[in-house]
Amino acid sequence: MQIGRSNGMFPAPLYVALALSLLALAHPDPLRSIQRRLHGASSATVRWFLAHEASAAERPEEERVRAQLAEQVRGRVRSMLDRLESKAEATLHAADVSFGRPEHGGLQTSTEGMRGVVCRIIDRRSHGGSVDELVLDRFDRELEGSYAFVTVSGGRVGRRKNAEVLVGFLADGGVDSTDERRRPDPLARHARVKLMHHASGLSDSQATLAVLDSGSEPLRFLVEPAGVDALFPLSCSLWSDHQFDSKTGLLDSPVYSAESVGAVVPGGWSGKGSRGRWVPAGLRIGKIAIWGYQNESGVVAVQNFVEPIVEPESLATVTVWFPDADSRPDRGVGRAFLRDVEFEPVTMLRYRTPTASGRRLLAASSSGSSRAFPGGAAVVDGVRLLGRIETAGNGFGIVSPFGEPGDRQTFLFVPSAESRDPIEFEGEVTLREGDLVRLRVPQNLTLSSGDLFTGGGGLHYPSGLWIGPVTGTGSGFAVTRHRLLRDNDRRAEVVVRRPSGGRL
Amino acid sequence: MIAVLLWFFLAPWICLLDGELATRTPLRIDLGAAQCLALVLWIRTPLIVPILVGTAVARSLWMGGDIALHMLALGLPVAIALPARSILNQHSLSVQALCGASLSLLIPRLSDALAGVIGQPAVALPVGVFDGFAALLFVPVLARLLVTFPPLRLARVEEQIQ
Repeated sequence: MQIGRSNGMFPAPLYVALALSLLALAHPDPLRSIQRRLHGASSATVRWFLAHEASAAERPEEERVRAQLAEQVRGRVRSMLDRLESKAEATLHAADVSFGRPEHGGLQTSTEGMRGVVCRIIDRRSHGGSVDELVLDRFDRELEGSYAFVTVSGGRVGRRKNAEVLVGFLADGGVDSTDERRRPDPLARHARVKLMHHASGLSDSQATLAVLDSGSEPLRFLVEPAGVDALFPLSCSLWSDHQFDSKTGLLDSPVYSAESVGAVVPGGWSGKGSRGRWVPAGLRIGKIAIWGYQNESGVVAVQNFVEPIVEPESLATVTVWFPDADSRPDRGVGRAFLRDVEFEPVTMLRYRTPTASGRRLLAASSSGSSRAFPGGAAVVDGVRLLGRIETAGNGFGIVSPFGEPGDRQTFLFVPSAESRDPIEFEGEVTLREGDLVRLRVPQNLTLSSGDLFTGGGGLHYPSGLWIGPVTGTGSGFAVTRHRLLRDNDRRAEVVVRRPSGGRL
Repeated sequence: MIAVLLWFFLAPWICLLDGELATRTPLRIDLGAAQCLALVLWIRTPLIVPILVGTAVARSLWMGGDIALHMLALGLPVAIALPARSILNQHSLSVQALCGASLSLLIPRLSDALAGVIGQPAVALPVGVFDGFAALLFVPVLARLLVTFPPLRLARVEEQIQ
């Protein structure tokens, strides 16, 4: 018996398709919308089945009770977060919080006559290297009249716990010029902070006058971006005493800002923007790091750098300062947390994939809307975080559940004891076993009893979404209890922030 | 054409079934390997690309990664093996077993390599040597099942007894 076979063993269409796939892999962006439509069509039968099953299992009374409970829990969480935010602001304006060190008589600056406004970070961007730009939850217009310098609390100066750390400067105008050629930026109207090592700093004279205590008298010098390939993000130049620029004895010396109104550049002041570039004295910038080489007489410093003491990835909030209380915007309590956020109901399907992670969720619009879900949006069950939309389609999204190993984001830890301050940190999931999720946290951080919340990770991934209680902690790790959607749970919500043009 | 359309809507369910099998049983068998084996041995050549597209779309939907990535991870082994169809005896169990095991080991590695090159997270099931041995038996059976029932039955090469 012989089997006859068809011809065409060298299928040209298959080779063409593979060549096109290779091209699509190299340039994926133009094909995103086609991919979204194909995903939508492919999942149509699954979504139809899901909607049919959900409507068959619908019990209006149970749904009503569930919605009421979810709203009550949301209210409690909002209330708690509002208290936290009020407390954070109150802390900032407490009498003992001031810039600078008292022993530096001439450098001391206080916050008297100034008011700080805590802004949450909703996006972090980089321009060829590490993160060098932060996008805030405030519109640029909301921060009109503020100083350009932006700080973060948490530095420790001597015995002061709340020393302010200079992290960067507000960019004039919303859109960064480097983004103009790209597609419209949904965050274009939001205020941005250019960190001190921002890539544009080299051409924008983004230098800050700094000072350090050398023992006899303060040494002044400029701190400026060191460039993408440098050992440290900031470098030092133009020392007031040239003898010191090659001394290695300055290693690890703390660096503070010196009061300045901007740098002199060809054509005027660098601080001629709408906000000016006044910088108060005494803001902590970092510590001296030295690159050099060893010879017979000792170590010779080739270049001095400044190593910042805060990492932009670990920040969830920054403080913008206003000249006086009258000019501060009317913001209302709690706007930073879960503000301008809507919860869009979805039907969930938990499924397993033949992948290493093995778990995914399908979120399909309950209302039958075909509006595209925003990519990266948080998905919650009430206020409890379930995950983040990984593949967004029209009226549906594939959700990557929270707790997958390698998931790295900013967290907000709220201690049970009301007297203790909340802590923001960057952590990474290392292991999930059942409901227990193990996180890698900074080595110097020890969490006590309390709850873990999201610290914000994008426009539709706000801070203040409850993850779970912290059940264990140790040096460099913490364990939280996070319950994922059960197989028969169907109801959840996608977090959607209202468009930025909606209100100010 | 009907076979292709039906497959486009059935492939997501097959992929979900794949996930259930992979996570609920100790066997780590990728149904993608069985689909590729079916394409190499039994599916009509003009229908290979559209069927492959349906599979790639479904895997991209549920498992993550771009459609193009899955298209390449599944399509490259098929493109390499297809010219050998004329010399392979499709009814030989050893040919089916060896092809199935090879595909089962190759597809996840190719998928991971491609994902690594373009900086996307790995989307394939990690498959070990033991799984390769299991694939010797199970992949040909699963491939046979796929082409025994519609819609892939409608896309099979016409077999003429001479």
